[in-house]
Amino acid sequence: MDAETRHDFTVFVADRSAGLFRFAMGLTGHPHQAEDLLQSALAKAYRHWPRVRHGNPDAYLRKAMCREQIDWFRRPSWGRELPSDRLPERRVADGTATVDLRLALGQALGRLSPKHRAVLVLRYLEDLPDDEIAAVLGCRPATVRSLAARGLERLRVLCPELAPRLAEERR
Amino acid sequence: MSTELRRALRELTDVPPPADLAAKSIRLAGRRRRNRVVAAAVVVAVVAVGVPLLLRPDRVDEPSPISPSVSPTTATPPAVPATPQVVVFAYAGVLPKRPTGNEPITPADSTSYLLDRATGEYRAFPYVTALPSPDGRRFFVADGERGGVKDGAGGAVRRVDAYDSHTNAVDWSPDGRRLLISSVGKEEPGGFTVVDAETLTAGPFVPMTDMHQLNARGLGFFWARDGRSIGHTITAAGGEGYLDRDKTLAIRFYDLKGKTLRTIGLTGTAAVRSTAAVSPDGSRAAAVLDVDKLVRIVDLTTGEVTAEFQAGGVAGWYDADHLVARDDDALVVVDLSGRVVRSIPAPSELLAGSEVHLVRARGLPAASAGHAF
Repeated sequence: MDAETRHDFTVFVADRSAGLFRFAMGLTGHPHQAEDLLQSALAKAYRHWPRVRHGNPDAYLRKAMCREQIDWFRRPSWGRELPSDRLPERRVADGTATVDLRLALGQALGRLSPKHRAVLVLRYLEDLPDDEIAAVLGCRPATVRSLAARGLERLRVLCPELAPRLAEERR
Repeated sequence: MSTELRRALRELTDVPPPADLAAKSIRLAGRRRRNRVVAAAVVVAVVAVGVPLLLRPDRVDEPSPISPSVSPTTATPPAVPATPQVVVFAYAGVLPKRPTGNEPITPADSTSYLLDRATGEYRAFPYVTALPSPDGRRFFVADGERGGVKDGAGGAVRRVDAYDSHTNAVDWSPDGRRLLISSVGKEEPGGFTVVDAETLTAGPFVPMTDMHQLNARGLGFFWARDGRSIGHTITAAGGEGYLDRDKTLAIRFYDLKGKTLRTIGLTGTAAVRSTAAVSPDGSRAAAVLDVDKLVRIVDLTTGEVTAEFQAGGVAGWYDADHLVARDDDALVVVDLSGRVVRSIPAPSELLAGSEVHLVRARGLPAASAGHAF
């Protein structure tokens, strides 16, 4: 790669790294795994950077990370490493029910299948519409809706602390 | 629910990105490109060399002596069992023969080959460490910084938090239910943690002053065969000269709370490093100093050295009277005088720089037991 391409890639990554890393964190739930995942996607993008740059690099990277994360879990290697059962470190030591709920929810997210998790992250963190999620995951919008519904249902099972909150939302 | 889910996701992902992402990604892209080139070259080489060898009509596995014995014995050597006893379940940390590009070979370039006990096939993974449990059902695997229990060669990896960059040894308990993780410690003096392999529940970290004060060679702890105590080869600095080896002083045994149970004197430079070096009945151990290609058989009750011979290393005990010895080119069964009694078909490209880990053949499924020797 020439110096100009390298510079352009470096500037792009510096500009977008916060958002991209947040997305990788959403998919993996772990900083080291998120860094590995994002680096892997960026390395892939760098290889085809002139073409990727003139398309939609954000969409390319999101798609690359989703596919790698989902495939990674299918592979019999580190990709199938299960997230730790331990709760993520508590940042606010206020001990309120809200914080406990989010911690429990965070733990439950870690136990979702990669595909269910990817759909929920794309929908609730990235706020993408279902047809765009379908394009990222390479499936139909109906499949996205089905995956989202199953993912949410699984969350309800894994996180019974949500029950009171659901009742409030229904009112 | 969606509101809470959005908040939870935002909170979970509220982590600053790592520095130098672009530079790291560019380096990763470069490594991948070189790996693709090397992989293509390896495929060509394997086809060019392997196929004619396989098709050779007079193909035989000839014994490959590691080195002549230095301690000939006058007693009648014990017979080697007729039935195969052990299977190589992992060639761990195999290094590439040549560096890629201008970058030196590092442990990060390692590949480990794990035997799938169900299919009898070896599968390659980018692990630096891969240590099978005694029954071959699980592996402890690790790269430089993280480690975990892998449920079979094709199984998922569950992370073991007690393993980190300060870990200097990992050893399976003889019953395969626990892991002994030794650490030099982020802060002195270091110590060990016992982790349940099923639940990954870690016991307390047990600080051990011997890990810091009597450990010139930086060795970890190993399980005794009783599964209730652990051992450690005590070493002291040998001197300032390049050829001055660190000295072995003793092997000390402790209970799982760190209390010293007994100490047996052991002079010289060879060390016992893992439970694989301890004989099946726990009475003896093979102490090894690989740089001098020296193996010493030590009585674990008295400390007496009952035999000594030369070999590049010891993969484990074959039976009560034989060891599996190795160097970078061959894997052989030797008796306790170092005499080669059986050779083992092992590809030399997997032996270079790697750790060879054995599992007892008895009780294995037929597919993997077929690899027994």
